[in-house]
Amino acid sequence: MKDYTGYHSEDFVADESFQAFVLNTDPEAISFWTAWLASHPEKEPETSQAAEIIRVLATQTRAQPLPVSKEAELEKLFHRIRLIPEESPENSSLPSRANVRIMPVLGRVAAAIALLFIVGSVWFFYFKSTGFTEIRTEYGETQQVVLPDQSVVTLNTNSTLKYPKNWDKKGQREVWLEGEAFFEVTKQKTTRQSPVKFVVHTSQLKVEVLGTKFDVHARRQATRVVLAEGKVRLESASQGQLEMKPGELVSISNQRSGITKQKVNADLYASWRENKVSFNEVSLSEVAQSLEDYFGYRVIFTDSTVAGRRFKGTFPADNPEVWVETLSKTFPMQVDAENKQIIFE
Amino acid sequence: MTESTSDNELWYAFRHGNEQALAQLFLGHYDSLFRYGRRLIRDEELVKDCIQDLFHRLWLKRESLTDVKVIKPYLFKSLRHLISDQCIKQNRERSLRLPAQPFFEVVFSHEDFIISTQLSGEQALVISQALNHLSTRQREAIYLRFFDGLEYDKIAEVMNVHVQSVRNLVCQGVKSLKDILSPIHLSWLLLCLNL
Repeated sequence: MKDYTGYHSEDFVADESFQAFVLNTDPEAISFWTAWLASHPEKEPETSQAAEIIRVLATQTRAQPLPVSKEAELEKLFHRIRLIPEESPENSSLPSRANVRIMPVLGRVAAAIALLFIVGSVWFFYFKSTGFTEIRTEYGETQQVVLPDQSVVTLNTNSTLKYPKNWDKKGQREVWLEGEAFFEVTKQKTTRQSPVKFVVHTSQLKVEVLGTKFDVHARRQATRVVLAEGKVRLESASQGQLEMKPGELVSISNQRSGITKQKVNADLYASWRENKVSFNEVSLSEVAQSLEDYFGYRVIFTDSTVAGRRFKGTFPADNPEVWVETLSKTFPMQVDAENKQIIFE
Repeated sequence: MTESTSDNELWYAFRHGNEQALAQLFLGHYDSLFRYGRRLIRDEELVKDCIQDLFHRLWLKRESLTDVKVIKPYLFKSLRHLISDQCIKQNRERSLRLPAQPFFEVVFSHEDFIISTQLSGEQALVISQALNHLSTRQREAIYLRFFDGLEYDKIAEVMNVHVQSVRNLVCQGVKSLKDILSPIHLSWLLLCLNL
């Protein structure tokens, strides 16, 4: 572990884990720094100044509109691609004025028609054919999806699953997940009897399987995979490849380029399929993240030590009121039900 | 920060010639690319042209593009190259009497802070002016980290330096920031935030 005792406030500001703690983006960093601050009260002036500087820097806004219409810019781009696909960008320049003047009338008509065609196709491509089938669940909703290969995916609340429309034509089975889902993958063989891979893509990694049951949780900055049955291989850009055995949990996060692997009770992580969400001695900030992810609540901690407190319990997956009521018995908090906002004090 | 989840998929579709993926990439990243470009150089038209060039080039060589895990830093880095090339070219073409086009001038404006709930216009001006006293590289690193939310390894990629150098740039930047803002100013600013 790093030795932070010699740090000045600017060193804390520059530390990524300290930033994650102040901006409340990584539960691990929150519990680490909560404990560290408690045991180093003498660094309080430096750390609180650092926290305030980070907050000043991060309270910027993007509200002002751009002085450009990006839709018009996109049209310009498509125009360039369609009309002059062979143009090498090195020699790209606008046509000279002389060329424009001698352009025959017929050419202008043709150009006008071409332009209409382009605008039309931009419209078409932008709003219509996606090339992907997309299934989306709202807050509080779960859905079971049967893929073209008869594999079953149970999609948790506030999640999206996509797969190419031309699924059947290709030799590979590939899906993209944002959120959380439980996969029951069927075994498939090609005509040559070699097994067909099934691949789940998340922002952090690729999960490759042949036929098995597992839970993938890909929200915020981290992906977590829990294997119930069979065997899977994970592949991530930063961590390389890794094989998993049943009952193992692997989690990969962007915040710290770390990877953790542990033995767990796999059923617990699929309990949301029975309409239950279980927490086993996790930090309150993790419970808060679930409230945000599952129900669209906004949770604020005014005191970061509260975020690090532990919680154990099981909640119904479709009723945020029960969560709020239970938590309010243990932790002091203000609830604004109308705006879905909770402030822990 | 869910954008990277669809990045993989978008990039895949883009590389296979899907024009809708091109449109999505373009529209999805245009704002942040434009803002970043405008901070590198004041000439808005040049930034617009460079963004056009960037996507046009990507499209032309889409089949030879490799897998990119997260698209944003890749786009930022490419735009930075294009703008830098253009600046060098323009400065060469200009007559020697004209001042050279300044580039890599990441400038903060008080509007970057003003609409946030807790800072008044005056406070925003103080902090943006203080930031503009830092070196351009320190400013760029701070901008990419706190405004665009890029992590240090991504910033290193964009600025083409080591990760440790990025950390040092942020650290030195904040140190000078503390020195520029008098202790009174700083505590006043921090006090206002500490509601």
